[in-house]
Amino acid sequence: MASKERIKDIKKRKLVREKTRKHRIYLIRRCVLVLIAIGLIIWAILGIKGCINRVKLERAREAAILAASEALKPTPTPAPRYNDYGIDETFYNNTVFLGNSFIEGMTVYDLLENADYFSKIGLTVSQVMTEATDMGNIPVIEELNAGKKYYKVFLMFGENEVGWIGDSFFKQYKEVIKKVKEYQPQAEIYLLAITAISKKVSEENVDNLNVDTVKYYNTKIKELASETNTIFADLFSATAGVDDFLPDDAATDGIHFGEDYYIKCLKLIQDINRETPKPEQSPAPSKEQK
Amino acid sequence: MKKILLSLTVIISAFLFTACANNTEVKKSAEEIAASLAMNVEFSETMNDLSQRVLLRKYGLDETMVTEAAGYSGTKAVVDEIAVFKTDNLDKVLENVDLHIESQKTNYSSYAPNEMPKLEASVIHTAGNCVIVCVSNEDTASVMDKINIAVE
Repeated sequence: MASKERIKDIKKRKLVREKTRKHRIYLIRRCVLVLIAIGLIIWAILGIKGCINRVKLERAREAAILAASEALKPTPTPAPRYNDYGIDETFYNNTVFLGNSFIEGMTVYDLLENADYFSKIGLTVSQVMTEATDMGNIPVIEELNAGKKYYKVFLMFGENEVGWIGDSFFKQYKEVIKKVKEYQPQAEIYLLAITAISKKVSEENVDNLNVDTVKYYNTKIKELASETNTIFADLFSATAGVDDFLPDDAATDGIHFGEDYYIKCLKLIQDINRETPKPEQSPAPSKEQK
Repeated sequence: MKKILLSLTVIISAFLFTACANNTEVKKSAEEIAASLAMNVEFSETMNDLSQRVLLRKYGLDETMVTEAAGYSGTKAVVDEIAVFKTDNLDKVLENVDLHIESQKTNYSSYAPNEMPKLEASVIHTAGNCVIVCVSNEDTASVMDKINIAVE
């Protein structure tokens, strides 16, 4: 009798242990599922938050660009204000010139009241991305990303690149323009044509610098301006004589002329502004048509 | 006797001090010195009078670093230039002048190598509180003579 009860008892305990074990497993499974569910919910919340933040940031960035552009828009028809050289200071107010010795040379004459200049002798469209001005610390192109916003950016390249092979100059110039648009999205961008050279320089043909190459490059720069929605300034016509050469007495080296030719160039550029409808400016959601 | 000797000593000492006194101020203006050099030194081109802000920008200086500045330059075809600075900060001005001349050498060594001899013969001279820079067709000794005349 006693052994029967003991067997019963043992069986009963086994049953209880079994039940307990199964219950424990059930609880563990439930906990794991709950934890996974909580993890998924947290992940979903973070994902949604991330998306919302990205959208907010994007909108804030666009708003900032638009605000900057709106703040810098000149009045619809600013009145010209001519200095003693006949140059319109209003047109050149808050502008910047970037480029090679043409720009370096212009700085000597201090013809403009409120323009900046970032230039270097011999500067090319590849060096502008890597080299600083003589007294600068950052690549020339980065000077446009230093906080100041300009109404207009004037670019002068080409003369030091006429000896380059194929289309490499134009491809790199395009990259420069892209960078300018990125740093100064509100600015009008002008591509300045290579200026005329003397007959002697053309005949010497050093590094492929001759009148035909200059004219060819200017044609391509004009096409580039059209392609990139920028403005072409034909400084070749401002500086060339009837024979397409720079007059012999204009420059001691047949290339780098003096003050009077720079005045001609600046006047030509300001007159383009009046004659030519301006292209659409760089991307901004609700810019006015000019 | 002693009184006479003492008086003589004082008078002679006074003369010695005034004669040997270090004259820290150049009396002529920067403009006058620069104009004198522009007129008397030989350059490859007609030199253009530079505005003060152009000159300071060229040398990486600002108005706080100099009391007077005047200069002349040719076109970018040549390295010819004159710069005269009056300053209380000689070291800074000299440092920037050196930097500028070195930059010119770097730029023109490939751009217009025929201009290099002028840069090698460039004169950087200090007289009192005045820094005078001259890059020209003339040799150092000849330019120095003309600087001394300009400064007197």
